[in-house]
Amino acid sequence: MYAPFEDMTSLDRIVHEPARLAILTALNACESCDFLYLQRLTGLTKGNLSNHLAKLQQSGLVETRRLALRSAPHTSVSLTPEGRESLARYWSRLDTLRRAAARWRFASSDAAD
Amino acid sequence: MLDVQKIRYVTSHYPQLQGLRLAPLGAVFIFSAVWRAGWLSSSPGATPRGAARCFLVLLAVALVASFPIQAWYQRRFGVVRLNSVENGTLALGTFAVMLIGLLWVEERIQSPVPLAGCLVAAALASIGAGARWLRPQYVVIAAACLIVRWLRPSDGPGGEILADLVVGIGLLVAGIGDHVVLTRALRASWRPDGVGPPPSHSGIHSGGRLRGLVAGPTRSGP
Repeated sequence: MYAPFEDMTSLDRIVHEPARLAILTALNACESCDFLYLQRLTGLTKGNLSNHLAKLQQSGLVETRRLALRSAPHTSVSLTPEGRESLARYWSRLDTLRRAAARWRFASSDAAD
Repeated sequence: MLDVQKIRYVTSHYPQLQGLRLAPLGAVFIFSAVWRAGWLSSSPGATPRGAARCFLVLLAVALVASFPIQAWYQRRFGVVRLNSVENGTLALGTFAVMLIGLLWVEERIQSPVPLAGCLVAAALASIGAGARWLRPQYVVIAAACLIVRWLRPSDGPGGEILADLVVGIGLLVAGIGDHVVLTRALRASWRPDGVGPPPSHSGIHSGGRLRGLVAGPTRSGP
């Protein structure tokens, strides 16, 4: 019998991690935002947020820019086109998995009867 | 509302949720209502012309005051850049054109139905009912606008005082409600010194707001 759980391993782990998913979701809803906004939104510490952003940057999903805003250093973060594609692909795959899991549940309950 | 949807909504409506920016504007309209009621008749500029001039000056001050308030939000919660579609400029422009058009029609045909009032109420209700009732105060304000506009208690000074009061209180309620939504969504669970509660393996605080981020029915697509 087809079990959708095998497909779960194919989810993009860089995107699937909850903190990174929150960051990518926020970035997908805007053109760019700064480090402080992401920190307030996710509730992560500075170090953790930096780590997550570094991983996303290494994967080519986000890009960061250092700006001087009102003479204060300011880090602006935005999603790359690849990042937008990855996020869309992730949601599509997760939706497919959810439907497959629902089908699998009904099929296994029918088999049990 | 799912956390993912809330994150998306709060981010894409960040400028609109900076509700304290509306507070000075609301105060001006309440001040205008008080003035019209004659409670400030001893103050300078109490003549109709002086009152109109004073109202315009206060309106300008309220609009200018929204900039330092915006700067405060940016210092406290950060900066989000949206494109022209996302930041609501297009929607606001369309609404303004429709409102002017309906006011013009209303004046020409003497419509028994307050068309412009209905449009304002519909726009406010759609804001309130959208995003799974994250901003329910807008529905209440829409209902208040519609009732006041429909009943038209009097077209004289009494009606003008009531209209100013509804606009002023409506702006204050809308602004404070939006501010509460924003501050709740962006409530930091970290401390400025960087010594937050112990993070989990993923860097999310135990009991943090990201728990269950993808739980429940997922939403496909952006």
